[in-house]
Amino acid sequence: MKRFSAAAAAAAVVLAATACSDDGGGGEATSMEEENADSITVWHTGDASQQPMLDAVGAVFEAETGVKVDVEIIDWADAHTKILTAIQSGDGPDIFTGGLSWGIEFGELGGLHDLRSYETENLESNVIEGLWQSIESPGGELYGVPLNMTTYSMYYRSDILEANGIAVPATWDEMDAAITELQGAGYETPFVSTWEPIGWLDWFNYMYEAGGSLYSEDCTQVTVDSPEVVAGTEYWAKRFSEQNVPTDAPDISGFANGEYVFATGGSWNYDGLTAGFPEIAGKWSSAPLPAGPANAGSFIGGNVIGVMAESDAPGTSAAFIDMVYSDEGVAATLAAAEEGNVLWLPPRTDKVMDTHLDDANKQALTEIFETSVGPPNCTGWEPASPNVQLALQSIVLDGVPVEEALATAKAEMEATLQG
Amino acid sequence: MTAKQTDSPERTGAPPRNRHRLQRYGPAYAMLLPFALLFAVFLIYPLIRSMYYSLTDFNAIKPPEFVGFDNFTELLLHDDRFHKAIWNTCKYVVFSVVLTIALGMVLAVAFKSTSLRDRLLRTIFFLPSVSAGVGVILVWKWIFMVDSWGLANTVVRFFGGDNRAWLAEPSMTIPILVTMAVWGGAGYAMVLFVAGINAIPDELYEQASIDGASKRRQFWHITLPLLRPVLVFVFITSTIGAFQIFEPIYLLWRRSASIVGGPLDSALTIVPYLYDMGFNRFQLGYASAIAWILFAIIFVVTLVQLRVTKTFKEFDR
Repeated sequence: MKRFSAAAAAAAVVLAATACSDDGGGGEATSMEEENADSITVWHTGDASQQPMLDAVGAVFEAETGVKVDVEIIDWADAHTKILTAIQSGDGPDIFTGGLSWGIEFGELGGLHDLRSYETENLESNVIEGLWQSIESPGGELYGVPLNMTTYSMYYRSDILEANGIAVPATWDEMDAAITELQGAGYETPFVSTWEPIGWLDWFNYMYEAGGSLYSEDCTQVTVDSPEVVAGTEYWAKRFSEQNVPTDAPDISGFANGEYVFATGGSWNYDGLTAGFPEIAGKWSSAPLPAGPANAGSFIGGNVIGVMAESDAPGTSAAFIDMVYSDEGVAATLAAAEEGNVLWLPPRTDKVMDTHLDDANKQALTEIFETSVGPPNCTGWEPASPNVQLALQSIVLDGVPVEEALATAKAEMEATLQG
Repeated sequence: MTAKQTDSPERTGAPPRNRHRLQRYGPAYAMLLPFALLFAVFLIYPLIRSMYYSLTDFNAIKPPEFVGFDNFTELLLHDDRFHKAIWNTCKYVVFSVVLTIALGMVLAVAFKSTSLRDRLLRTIFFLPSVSAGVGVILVWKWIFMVDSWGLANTVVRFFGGDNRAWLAEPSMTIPILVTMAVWGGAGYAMVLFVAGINAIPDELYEQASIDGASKRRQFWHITLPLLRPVLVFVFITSTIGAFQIFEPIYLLWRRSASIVGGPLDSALTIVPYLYDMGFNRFQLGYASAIAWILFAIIFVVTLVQLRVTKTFKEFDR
């Protein structure tokens, strides 16, 4: 309580000194003390299994500040529209959570506060390095920070690998060799991707591992026709044309019954495999995606959390978000997650080891987060990404040459790029 | 005389004729008012608003900016995705409507009697029409799963084939949608056709039989012409519904927030494209223009259907 009161007081002083300067997101930056709110409302995009985690951190916040936190769950399918409507009508919650890219998207529409207008203790120093490019707007505003994380992991059947004398592949070459060997041993489809195999998300991993990028660092140039991206794309396409990787995402049950030996996919599979297939406990584990010629790394996403521009209590809301990043907040969240047997990857990588996964998987996730990267924050990526995906699909489904498809993707990206 | 004085315009403030009409129709109008208000607020107003938005650049947050007919020009002349959506929609409409009606007609002719067997089979064929839409679509999704336990792949493997990624193959998207539509709609068409067939006087068939007409000739020259009103109704409602297809595409192929049209946009039809533009990309002005073009297409197609039907009717006379 003391820490928050001090933070609030400090914020009040800073704001008074700067005469409550405009925060750029719409609405004025006020302090928690000025607002004197009784409660704040959070719209959390996700499923009901995640409510206890937010309730838990809300309870800690209420105990420290006296401000009640009401959490409402909204489904992913409706969330984007619902939040947009709330922004438009000015009649929404104080805080929203949603897709990682929504912070910049809604912020630039004037729907969110810049969190940098508020005094926070825990945010800036704890956001994962690879996500800054996804959450900081080109103008330097911070409209949202990660609430939790989702990343690509490579799940593997340790029992099958062991039986065939194959080590866990750590590079592309090792993975190729493992797939060839397993196919020789009768595994028709040793490798699958369970998260949009012919979508840009899956491709992004290979592109990045090959040393490529979507844009130049200053977002002024589209770089998807670079030799590195071409190499990554060719390798990605080879999976489907030469290694019998299905173009549609299979169910993880195929991994559980030994039909597939490797499955890349989102971190929700940790829960799915643990709870859904207890019979293979001890027979599987996870690892970072195999490294390419330039980098190890994989796509990282998750929920972003931000303060709505029309909130009556933006300072209080910012303080709550700060609480999510605090030691107490993370501890409360993880305790609730463990109680519900739900995997919740906190926004602080130093706390991944506190999750309830087994040691091997915690170690794998820690390594994954060290090299993960989020989607770019360059304006224009969101509208361009579906067309980029179509260009990528044309390689796999229509046999369009990689260079030609990437030239198409580049043209689409340049059409929406605003440097 | 007294009554006449009571009704006088001076005393009521309204001409007697109007007052009479008010007394007669007033309660009816009063009862219609709540519906009329709802109709105006939730249909007429949004329609007018949508028309206005279609002439603007509007992202739902910033005020709409008037752009004239730019949205329509862009859609009709330059937007390749929209052209693809129209082409996909046309393919889907033609195949799904024709096959649904054809199968519905075959089922109706085959199971038109009041016997227990026919009533039972009609009930079975009608069941898909009353099944929960989303649930049915998810079952279809399961059928076409890429895994070896997906029903379609189980059948393929039984006959010695390899697993197929049915939902990730562009050439399969429209056939899958048509299959779902025919399976779900044929029973409904059958019920309407059975009602129509049973309304045709038996004497006509008896007369035709006496004259030596075969069953096939009876169908083409009695059943089909006399079923025309029902046929037109089914044709028009099926066509309108087919043009508006959305849920199966959304549920089968939506993989992430920003992608709705399936592999290579092979399942992209007009309404999913409208949704994509309006609710994924916030181009609400553009999406409104798509909605009005869809309205125009359906309007014209319906007019053509009615006109053709009328021509046939006049020809028959």
